[in-house]
Amino acid sequence: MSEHAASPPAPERFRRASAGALPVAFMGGGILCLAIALAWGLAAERQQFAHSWLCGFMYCFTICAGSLFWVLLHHAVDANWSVVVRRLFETVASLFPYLALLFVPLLFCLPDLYRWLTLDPHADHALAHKSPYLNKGFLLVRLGFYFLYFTFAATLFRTKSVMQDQTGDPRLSLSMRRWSNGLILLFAISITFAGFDLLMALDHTWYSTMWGVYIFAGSALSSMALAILLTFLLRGSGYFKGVLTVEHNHIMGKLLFAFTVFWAYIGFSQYMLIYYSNIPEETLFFLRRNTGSWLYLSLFLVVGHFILPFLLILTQPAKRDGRRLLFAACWLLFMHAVDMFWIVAPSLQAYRDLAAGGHGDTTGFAIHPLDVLCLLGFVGILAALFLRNLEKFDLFPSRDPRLMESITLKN
Amino acid sequence: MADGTAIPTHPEAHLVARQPLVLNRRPMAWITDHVARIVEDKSKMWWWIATLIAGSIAALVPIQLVYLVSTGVGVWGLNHPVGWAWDITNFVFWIGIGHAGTLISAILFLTRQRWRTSINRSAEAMTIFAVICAGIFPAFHVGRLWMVWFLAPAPNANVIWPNFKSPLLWDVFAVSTYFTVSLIFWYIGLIPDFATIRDRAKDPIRKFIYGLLAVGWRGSNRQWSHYEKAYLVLAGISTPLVLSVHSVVSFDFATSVIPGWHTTIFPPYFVAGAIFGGFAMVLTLLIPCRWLFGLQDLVTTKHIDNMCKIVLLTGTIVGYAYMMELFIAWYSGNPYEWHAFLRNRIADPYIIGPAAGVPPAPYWWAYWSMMFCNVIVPQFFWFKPCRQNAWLALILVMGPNIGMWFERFVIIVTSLHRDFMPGAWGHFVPTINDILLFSGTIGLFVFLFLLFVRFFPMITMFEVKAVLPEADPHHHPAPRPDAGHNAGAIQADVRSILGARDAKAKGGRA
Repeated sequence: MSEHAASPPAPERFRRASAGALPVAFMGGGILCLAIALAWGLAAERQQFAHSWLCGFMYCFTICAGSLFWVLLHHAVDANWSVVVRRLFETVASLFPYLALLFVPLLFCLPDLYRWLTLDPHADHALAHKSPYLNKGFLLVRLGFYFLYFTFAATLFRTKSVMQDQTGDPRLSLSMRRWSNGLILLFAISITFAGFDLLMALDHTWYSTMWGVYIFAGSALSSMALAILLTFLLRGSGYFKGVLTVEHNHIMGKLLFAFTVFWAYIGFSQYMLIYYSNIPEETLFFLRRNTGSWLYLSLFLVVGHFILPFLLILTQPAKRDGRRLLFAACWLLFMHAVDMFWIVAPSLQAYRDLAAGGHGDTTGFAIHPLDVLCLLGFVGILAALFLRNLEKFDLFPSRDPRLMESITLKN
Repeated sequence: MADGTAIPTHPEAHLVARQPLVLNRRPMAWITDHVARIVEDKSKMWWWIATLIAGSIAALVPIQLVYLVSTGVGVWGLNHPVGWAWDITNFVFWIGIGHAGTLISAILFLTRQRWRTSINRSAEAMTIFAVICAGIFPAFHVGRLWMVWFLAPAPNANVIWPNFKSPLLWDVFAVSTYFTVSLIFWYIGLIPDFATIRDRAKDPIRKFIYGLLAVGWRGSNRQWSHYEKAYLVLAGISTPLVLSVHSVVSFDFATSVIPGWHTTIFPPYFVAGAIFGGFAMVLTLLIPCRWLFGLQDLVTTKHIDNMCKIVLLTGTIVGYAYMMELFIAWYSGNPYEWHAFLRNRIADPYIIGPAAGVPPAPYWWAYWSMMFCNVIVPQFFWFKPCRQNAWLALILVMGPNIGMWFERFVIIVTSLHRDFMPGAWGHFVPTINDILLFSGTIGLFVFLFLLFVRFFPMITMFEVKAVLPEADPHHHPAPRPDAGHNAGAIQADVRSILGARDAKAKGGRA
């Protein structure tokens, strides 16, 4: 409120030294994991490697895309609460250029992921129909567009935001608001079609109009969970004193809760409508994930991604109590990895079965060491890069015109 | 959330200053007086004329229903294969309208959007009237109205239960829950304001009636504490209803295997469409009302601007859903699905039809009216002048008002009129009874709303007062720089303060 607005806090910088050996451990561990995965996978387990890499990649891709969404939303609706945490979202979203680099190995294994690339369109009726969209050239053009868009948008907002740290010019806020309007439209298109191309097209015969929304729901949820985790870690290291308050826990907890429910709503609607109508070309997606021990993972997803966090952060005290919120955020970050695994891993079994002349049946839940290595590798490298980038600029937009509104937030 | 707060150091800080939610620094007494006077003063001539016209149109509802029940459902234009047409279109249309009220009262409350305070009461009232209009259609579609209780989950004469696997039964639950919760929510919010009217009343009959409605409200701390808790709980209960009601309505279609109906994006797409149509209707009602009652300081340009933005957002989400449906209809490679879109909906006689080499779809005009009204028209709200000029906004929201009706018509009739079997194809033409009954519900809706604005406080007085700067416990009143400019308003304030009988009982919390 205005009566507190007298003295904005001094700008803060993150010092990597305060994280001790963590950045080095992250980077070293990450590189090691991915190097082993690359060497082992490309030499012996190419198809498994491609799927594991995609799973780790999509985990980070969706979190970065979600972070960009929160930046875009902040500007589009002229929000005030999120000013103090916006720099964290901006910095996570700015990892897109690195993600683009980390996608390169997949370019060499696309046929190991997408069976439609190995098929002759004249021999496959479904592919023949879709080939104007599903062809390698157009796929590469689209992939280029996604990376270009995400990199451009993330860089644009961080550059302008950092510029405002120097000048405090409110016209930069207005400029970002204007940019956010157009870019949020492109965001919807990009994340939808990236979801179609990278995940839905793992089986080119399957389709769901809800797919883009499902991927978006997971992105927004997991990126909010990451932001909660980051604010806790940074506060624990002595940053954000007098800037981040319990009110920010509360509002981020509300959004985490809202998107937990939204994810479940979207996931349930998609499942229910396909289950109820029982059309074979649609049910195959869920049949593959309900076969054998996959059923237990599917049920775990329902309980772990929705019921548990729902009960955990339903009440107001839970959102304001740091430990419970932190636990929910970490748990949801884990469940998001489970969700990505649940999407990608059964596709590999189906692919192998189809290639062997079967109907694309799955055998049962199985984790390959490459799955773990790739996920840890991606998270490690990107976490180290995040810490390096976080050091470069102020920890929060120190001269944003709405900074004091954000600090003095009341729920 | 402070309004007008910005770090004052930068010379351009005014560019991002927040606009106040109540203009001209109106004091609390002015708000009470101005809102309560609508209920207390004699009805204006325009109100009598408007109510007479709307009431006359509303009379079509009982007339048409008596004719329908005494003659049979055949008086509507339903046929084989179009067994659902205007009745379900109108049902979904009216149910959707209500969603804006629930969103404003529940979700905007939970997210602490303080601008909701000036518009929530009338939007909630609109919700209830819209659900009343909606309920007429399925109730009478059963044909024999005295059998309508078969819809309820009770064994009938032959001990047959309704089919719990049917989304139509879920509709019964969803809509009745929706109506009940909305009514309770609305009424609870009205109680403190009813008490204000009661306390201001000079006429003993008025005092008695509003006293009954205020159920003994005295504005004590304990009552406020209970009130706030109840309101929060009801907001929590209402929030899932915003999503669930129209999701269940969408299941009526999407659980089937009818091309054009069965698509997984239907639930959120229907919800977005409902909020879209609902906000368009809130604007349609409030823009004339604020002008007729001189409420521009309470329902400000900022309120209109925000609502236009929600119309733009939800309209664009609806546009996204249309695109997804079209893309997946093609991508799926399902010939029936693509047929439903290309040959039953989008192929017009001029551009797409000839380009695709297919004959024009019988209802192409309905599809493209929907596209134009729902996707193209709201895009004007990207431009500030379109959001800031209330009358221009009023013209533009006619797009969603019309377009959302067409959307339901397109979904329902274009998918049904051409069955899987070409021999069973048909065409739907509404009868005069279809048209008159729908017109009647529009009249009924407007009629009920006119009664509401006349007899109930149409703006939540005590909540608007709570968002005034002086309601903040830390507020330090500054001298009014516009005193000379605004002398008339201040004189009016002084008059209303002096004329107020008991300032304490005005329901204000501050």
